[in-house]
Amino acid sequence: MQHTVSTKTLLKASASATLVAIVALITFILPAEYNIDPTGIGQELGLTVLAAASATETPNESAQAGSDEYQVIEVIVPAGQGVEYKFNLQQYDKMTYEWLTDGPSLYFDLHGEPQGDTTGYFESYAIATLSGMKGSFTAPFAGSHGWYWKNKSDKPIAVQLMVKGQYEVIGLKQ
Amino acid sequence: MKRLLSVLALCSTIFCSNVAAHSDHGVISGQAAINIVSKSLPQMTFKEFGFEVGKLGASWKLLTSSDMSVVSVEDSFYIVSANNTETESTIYFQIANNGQVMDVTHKNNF
Repeated sequence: MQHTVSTKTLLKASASATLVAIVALITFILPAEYNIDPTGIGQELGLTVLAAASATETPNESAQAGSDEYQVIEVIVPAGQGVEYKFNLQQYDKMTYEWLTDGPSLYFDLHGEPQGDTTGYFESYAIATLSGMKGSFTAPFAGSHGWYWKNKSDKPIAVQLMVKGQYEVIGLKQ
Repeated sequence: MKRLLSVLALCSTIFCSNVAAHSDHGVISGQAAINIVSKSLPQMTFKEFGFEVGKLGASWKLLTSSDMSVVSVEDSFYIVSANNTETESTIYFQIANNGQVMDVTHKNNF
């Protein structure tokens, strides 16, 4: 004889599943996806930081001159030499970037130097030899952040760098 | 018990489509397609990317979003036009749903 589920059991199971889904929606999904946190649990668990920054957020008082639109910068890396192009960022400021060369690959080091540091310390975020890269980073500390490109060839190489976010341009260092 | 668990699983899947995170991850909007064109234009004045239009002149760097518009939305790609008033010319971008620039031409014949 086949075991059947009574209507009462079915309704209880459906109600339980619905309740679990609603709880998950309110405590985990809404805070993480939409920054809606009616219970405060999302913030305690650190889920609200996952939500995308909205246009209604209060502007950071220490926001840099940066831009919401890409700023285009072109740099020539002379043959056999290296150059640095740096930006001032405050701690947790974010920069989105994309750069490419006019052909050959360049050794690069995307790194940051803490503000006021006299020891020569720097932290590398990405090191490779490529003809282009794109991404974003959030400054772990206030200071100068940017790229060192080294041209190991015997011809100058041009780099087009596009950046947007929160920053102040320091510029080129050779 | 097995049936009860099956029912519970079935009920939870009813809500999956509503709460699934990043269910549309990787599919861009029309505005995103315009943003991609806006970013691509300066790059195309910098070097050749193998598209029909070749390397663009410097005047194309000055275009803003108001010079661009979504011409059509196809199943797997967008067509976005970019109009250069200085040279009185228009080029067309074929942008895949994942944001990749597939082609850039002088005529909209995709």
